[in-house]
Amino acid sequence: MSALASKLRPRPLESWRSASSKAREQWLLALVLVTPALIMMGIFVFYPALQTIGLSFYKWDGISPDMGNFVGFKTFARATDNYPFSQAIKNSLLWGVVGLFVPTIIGLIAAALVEDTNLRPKPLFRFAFFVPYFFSMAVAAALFTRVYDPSYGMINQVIQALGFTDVKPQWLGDGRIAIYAAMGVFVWHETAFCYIVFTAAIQQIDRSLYDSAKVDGASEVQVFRYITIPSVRDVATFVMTIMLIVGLTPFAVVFPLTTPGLGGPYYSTEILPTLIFKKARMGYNASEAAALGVILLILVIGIVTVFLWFRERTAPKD
Amino acid sequence: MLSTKLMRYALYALVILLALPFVFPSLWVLMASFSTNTQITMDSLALPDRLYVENYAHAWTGAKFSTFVYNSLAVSGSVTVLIGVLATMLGYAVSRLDFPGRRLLLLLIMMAIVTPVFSYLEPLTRVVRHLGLANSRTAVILTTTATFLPVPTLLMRSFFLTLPEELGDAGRVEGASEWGVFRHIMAPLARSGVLTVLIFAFLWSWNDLLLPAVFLQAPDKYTIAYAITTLKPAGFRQDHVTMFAASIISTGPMIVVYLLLMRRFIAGLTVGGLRG
Amino acid sequence: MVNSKRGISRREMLRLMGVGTVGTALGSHIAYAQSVPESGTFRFQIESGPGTDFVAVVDAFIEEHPEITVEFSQVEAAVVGVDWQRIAMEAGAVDLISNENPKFLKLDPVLKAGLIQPLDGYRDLYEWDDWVLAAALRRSSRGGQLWTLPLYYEICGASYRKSVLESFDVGEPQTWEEFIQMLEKFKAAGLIPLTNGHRGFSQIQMIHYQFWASIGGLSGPGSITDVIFGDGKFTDAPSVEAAQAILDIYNAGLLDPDVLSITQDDGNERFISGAAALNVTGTWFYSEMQRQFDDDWDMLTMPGPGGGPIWCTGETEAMVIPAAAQDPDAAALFLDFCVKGTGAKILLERGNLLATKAFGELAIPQIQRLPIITGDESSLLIFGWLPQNSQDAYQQGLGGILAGAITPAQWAQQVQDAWERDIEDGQIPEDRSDLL
Repeated sequence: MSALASKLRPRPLESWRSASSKAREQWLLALVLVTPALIMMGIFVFYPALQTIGLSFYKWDGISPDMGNFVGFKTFARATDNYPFSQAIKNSLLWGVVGLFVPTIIGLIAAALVEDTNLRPKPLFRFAFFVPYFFSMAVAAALFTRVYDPSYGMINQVIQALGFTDVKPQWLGDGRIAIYAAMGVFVWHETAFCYIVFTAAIQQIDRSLYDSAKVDGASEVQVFRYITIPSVRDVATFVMTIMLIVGLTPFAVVFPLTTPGLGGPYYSTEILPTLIFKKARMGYNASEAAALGVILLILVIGIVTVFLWFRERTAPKD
Repeated sequence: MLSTKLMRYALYALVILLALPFVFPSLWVLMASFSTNTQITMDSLALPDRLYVENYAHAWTGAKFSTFVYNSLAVSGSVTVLIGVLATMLGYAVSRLDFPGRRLLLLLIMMAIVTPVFSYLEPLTRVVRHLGLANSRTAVILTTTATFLPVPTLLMRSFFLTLPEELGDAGRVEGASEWGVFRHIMAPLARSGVLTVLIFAFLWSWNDLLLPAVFLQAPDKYTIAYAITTLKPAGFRQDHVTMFAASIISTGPMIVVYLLLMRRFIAGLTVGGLRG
Repeated sequence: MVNSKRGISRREMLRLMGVGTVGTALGSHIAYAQSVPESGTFRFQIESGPGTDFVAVVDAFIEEHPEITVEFSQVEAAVVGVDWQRIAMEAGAVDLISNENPKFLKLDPVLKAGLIQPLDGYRDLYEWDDWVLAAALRRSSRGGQLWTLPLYYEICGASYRKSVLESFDVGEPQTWEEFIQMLEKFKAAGLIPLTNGHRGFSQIQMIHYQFWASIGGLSGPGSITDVIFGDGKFTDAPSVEAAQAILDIYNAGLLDPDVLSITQDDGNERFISGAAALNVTGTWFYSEMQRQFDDDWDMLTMPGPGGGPIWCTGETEAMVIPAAAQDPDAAALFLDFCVKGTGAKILLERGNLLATKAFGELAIPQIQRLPIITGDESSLLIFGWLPQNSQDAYQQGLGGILAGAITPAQWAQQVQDAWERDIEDGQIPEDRSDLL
């Protein structure tokens, strides 16, 4: 997507008056093609997003007929001066970093191991790495409430079976590890997505590059480092951007794991979306929810922009 | 010679070890879905004494998962079709047509990608309510389409950009209108891109939890993902097997998509989709 | 403050909120003379959990009152947030709806939004004061008017098997010492002495209510009543000591060591399978126990340090008639059917604890002994009294205490801060003394 930005440079446009019939026809067609999508996004994305910004400067519970007073940044102060908020920011950032690197790197390595070697049968291994994606993220999280159960849960049962009878982690009950347990579900599920996209990318790499590298005596690791990685660069940027956005809002994981006491135990899995959901849907705090929404918006736009800028800056020159 | 053979074994060991965490929980769920609640609480790693296929029957009819599967198919199906059509149209416009405001439009689309739906959740529910769509599958379909649309649009845009412009010009020389160029030349050529987008849209909408959670109140309208996360057996008890069986049922459409279409999905993703 | 430079205009906001409907409706109910209807139609909506029992009630009502048409629907609302009733009422889609409980979390917001109408006319017409518990009516009133009619009562406690207590030669504990001794005996026998679930919807709060009621008494300073309706604070000794007591039994291994990881449904399973001796739950679990154990079960309330056992009670299934209702008379007739008619009988027979005195003699023995029937004074089950900020602090914080993240005193301070914030935000009435 970084390369996309460079394609956004303006091209000189003819004015309507002087436009050729082709140009006029294109304008009309564009109008027809763009309008339905734009109306939908206008109603369900841009209008409410703008409303959020407006709402965040008011003090309004979301239900009183009177919308309340304009209070400037007071709502922001109120929404941010508490422990759940600082937990949510900390966890969101941590989760963003994990999302950016963990599923992408595991997915890439797995894809390279399957595609760039003489492993057989490939379809079986591809299927195996893609299996988590058959479950939707929320279903995966709901299943992992059982996988993580302290007594009958799969993990603790395996630990028992291996002979460590006094090791019994409280995966979702221990505030120190609950966030990592939740991230585990995220990584488990999203790696499959990264894997399949990287598989596609690696399959497109020109095989002759590998052959000539082999002739030159390059090791497997060198091939991976100097051929595979550079070849999938654009795809990696795409995947990492998606993972970054999903990783900053992993509601579908946290909701099933902790509902309806979202973000527990003791705010250890709190993220901005759970906080917003609680303020807007479980209580009457429309303004605070809006303020948190604006903060989330700034956070995501900021981080993604920095990431894309960094990718573009470090892009190899053609 | 020995060392290459050893390397080979090491490779297999490595890949299997890497795949294990991804496969094992799924196998555990599959096994447990044929077990009993008592067996699971006693020893969840043990094989059940027989295959309790009735768990599936119970999930399908007793726990009404036939309804939820239908709802999910209806929602994801509609979203997929809508996104396929809208993304193709929008993607073509921003890649192949010259019109004022194109740059601004692209910028808007990119902004929409990085605007998480959580940030405007509350006003969005208000809009939906105002349109009289509260507690309806239509609300989920429309909001999902609108919020997911930007990424498929960019994919389609990249895809159209890989098609040679000369094809369109040739059509124009032949006397085709701009609509004709789009409808009869470019759009058919973008078929594999459209397929990729369709699969993408289906996977994502099938996966979604938030919008169903916000917009569906009546249980007979729940999507399967939402139904599984809120599954509540009577009497404040735990019903693991029904939940496991329902989860396995929920993978059905995904497995079908994978087996039938994934090869072409992968092809479509790389031919043009991500090169932009 | 009216000016046009705002991000969103007020008019637009009002329009979006459907205030138009409400405004029209507010005027409309006055047109009705509250009377027993000769014919009519009402649309009734309820959550699907209790809704199952109401299917039979509606059927019986239609049989007894063929002149009234009922359009009945159920909603699954446990997880989707607090505002499903608001949506239905704003849309003018219902004439009668269960607003769950008559407390700050549920009643006050819809009241503030002008979405419901007072029931005093029907209260007099049907003489509900003779049937419904006085405390329930009082807590359902604001500004001297009755806004909601709670049909159920809920009581929390610790459920047990009679046979298990007998085999350990213990009775229901009357003091903290007896309670601890009892738990120790269970522990020594390899049982989980007391199970409870914190993940998801934390029921550690149910332990806290009971200890707090026991320590603080019915109305003393720092008692539950004093905090909710008076000038008491969560930081007062009784509430903090109660939190400390939970931590003490947890550290002593007398509370399920998995409490933070498991849900209450897991806890129920542990109790039903016999792995746990006591299970923190409430009257909502009665019908399941009756099904599982015949008569071999009951529920006790746990004494805290220095106190005796005191029950915590709370109203629920509080029915409201929306301001936009088209036929409130028909809806009220149905309410009366549930207060003293066949409806009450059906609900009772299905194992529900009613907020009305009708048919009390039909109840199972486990219900006969509860304060609602005996007339004994009881403390408050405060779930629902706390709006979102304080409820979140209360619930999450109790987990934080057990995890060692905060001390009971810090927890109390956090809840108090959140409570004051909720008052400041207008989520709780400033003066609550008339609800007592």
